[in-house]
Amino acid sequence: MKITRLLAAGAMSAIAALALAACSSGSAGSDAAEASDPFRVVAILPMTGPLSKQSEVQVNGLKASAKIVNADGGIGGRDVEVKVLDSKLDPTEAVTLLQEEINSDTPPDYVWAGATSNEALAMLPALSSAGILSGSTAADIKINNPELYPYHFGMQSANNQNYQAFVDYAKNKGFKKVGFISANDALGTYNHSAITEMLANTGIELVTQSYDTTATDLTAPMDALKAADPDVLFASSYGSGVGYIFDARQKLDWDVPVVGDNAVGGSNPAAIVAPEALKGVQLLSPLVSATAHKDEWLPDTQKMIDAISAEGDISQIVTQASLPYDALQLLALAAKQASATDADALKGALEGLKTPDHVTWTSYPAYGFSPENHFPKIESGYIVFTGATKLVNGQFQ
Amino acid sequence: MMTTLWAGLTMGAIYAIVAIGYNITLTLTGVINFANAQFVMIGAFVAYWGLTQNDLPLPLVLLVAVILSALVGILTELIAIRPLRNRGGHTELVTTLGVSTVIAGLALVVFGPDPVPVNVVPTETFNVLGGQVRLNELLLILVAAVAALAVHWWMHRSKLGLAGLARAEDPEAASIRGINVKGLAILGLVLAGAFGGLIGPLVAQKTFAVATLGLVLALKGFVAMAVGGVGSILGSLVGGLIVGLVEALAARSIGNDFGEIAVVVVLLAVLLLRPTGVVGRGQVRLV
Repeated sequence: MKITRLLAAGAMSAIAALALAACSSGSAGSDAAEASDPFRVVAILPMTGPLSKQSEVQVNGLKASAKIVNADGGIGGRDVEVKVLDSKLDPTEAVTLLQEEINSDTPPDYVWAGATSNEALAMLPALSSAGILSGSTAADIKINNPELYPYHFGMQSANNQNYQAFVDYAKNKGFKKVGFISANDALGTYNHSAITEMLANTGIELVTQSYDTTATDLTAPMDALKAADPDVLFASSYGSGVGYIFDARQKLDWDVPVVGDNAVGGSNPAAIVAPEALKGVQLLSPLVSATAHKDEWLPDTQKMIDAISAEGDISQIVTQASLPYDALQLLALAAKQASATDADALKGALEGLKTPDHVTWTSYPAYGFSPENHFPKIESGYIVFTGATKLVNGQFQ
Repeated sequence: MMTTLWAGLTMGAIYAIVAIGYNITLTLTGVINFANAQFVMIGAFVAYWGLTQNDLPLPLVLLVAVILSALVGILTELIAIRPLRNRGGHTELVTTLGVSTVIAGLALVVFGPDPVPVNVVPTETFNVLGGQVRLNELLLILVAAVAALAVHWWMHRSKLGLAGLARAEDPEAASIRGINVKGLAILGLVLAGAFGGLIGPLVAQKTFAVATLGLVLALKGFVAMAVGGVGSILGSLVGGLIVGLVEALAARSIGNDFGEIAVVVVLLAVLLLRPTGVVGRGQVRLV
């Protein structure tokens, strides 16, 4: 009967989908630029799709920064222009758009290359080949490869640095056993390896659980972690997973202290679960996103918040806006120190940037780029602990 | 371990609810509607809009969810199923998947990508048989069981249900005997839509309302239907509970990465050893 064929066709599709779920050269453009030419910034971001809100906030960061830089004379005397293109969260689409821009009569001077590591990694070979400077919030450690991608400067620190604050906290508290939960996707797997490496040789035992990103209930892995009886739970998750973790913890009546990493914080847990489910939860948070640490902010932080708010609501954690904001501030200073705006000169200046008395960037005290390192270097005190409060202007209160 | 068992039963009940929707459509309409789980997602977001955002009374919210989901069901039949009828090849599997993608995309545009909370009943937790379980979870298990029994009874006792079973056995003969086959096709989508929309709010209290919810549940719901027996409403319940329990217990006992693998193993075992499903009869048929 036809039902057999129908079932077979559907079953084959289901098996395939389930199985997949289970396994889980010389610089161009700027060389010939004259002082009257605009400094062209092209942002290739997923303006549609699940990361559209995040991308919108990143664009607002670029636009706000461009206005401030232009009011101060631009980058090397050139006014900054920001053009936004929609990658649709598709690395292939991102590369196609990039190639069109590179081949156009007005190639970009700087590309804000995607909201995800997949997009950035797809665009980097073409950017390197064309000698165009780029930046992004993508934090895959593979991107920090100045030999392969000499013109890319990552703006977000990788978790092999961010997690040091948690490790210090665990040591200071005298914890003997740490529980860790993360998704089994690329980010979760990387974070798992980062915390494993950082806790090695500390005498602290690590018990871990991972979960599939399509899971809609995390009672089982949380129950398994509870049975292991860790002193603290370190959670790395985003989106629905954040809600499922805290919901399961509350249901299990488990009063273990929890620390969520920056991805948990960026998911704004207070908007997903009830306040009682967040009792005893702390978040690893960049200084710039913690209102309670306002006294420690860099001097232009409030100026940055105001400028970006004028462009639109900061509906995501503020680093989504402050990092692209900082990128243009860094370029403006690099152009001043290099007295040039071509990619090689700016690259050299960024790698040896002299920090002025008054910094105009807002997310890190210093970015610490060097010829060998194109990712920000975290300084002690940059990552702080905050309560899991609601985000206002992208900041925890 | 009992807490994990309750969690498995709860997720199994949700898979069963989706599988019941598949089977209602399959029996009355003759197709597997891959957009079926989106009815649950529509109910979830209506609940978010009505209960969380606007504080409307629950009966009104449920009514809106039922009507909206039923209307989407009608549109699905008219746009993605009816034009392909009698053309062979089961292309409805593709077109209903397309409808499902469009619905998920619309939810993304309207409500954004972030999960949002829905509270239909109090969030109290009870200790039952040594395990922690929430009121909404107990209700989901109860609703799945009652719905399976009620739909099974309706299919085998009511005139319309029997007409549907006759259509499933031989559409041409049923048509000759005066059964309105086109009308039954619409009815199948209306009932499945209304059912998904009605239960969606309760599901959302467990899973949150999120645009990807339908796509995630569609797959597990299909597996539940295949394990329980295609065409068997009671099989949907049994299949759903088996899938939910296997997934949760494997994740708890062997490791969370093995939950999905265990489900695949069970599906393959059922398809190889008893292709009609654990509750289905020895012969592949819907009646």
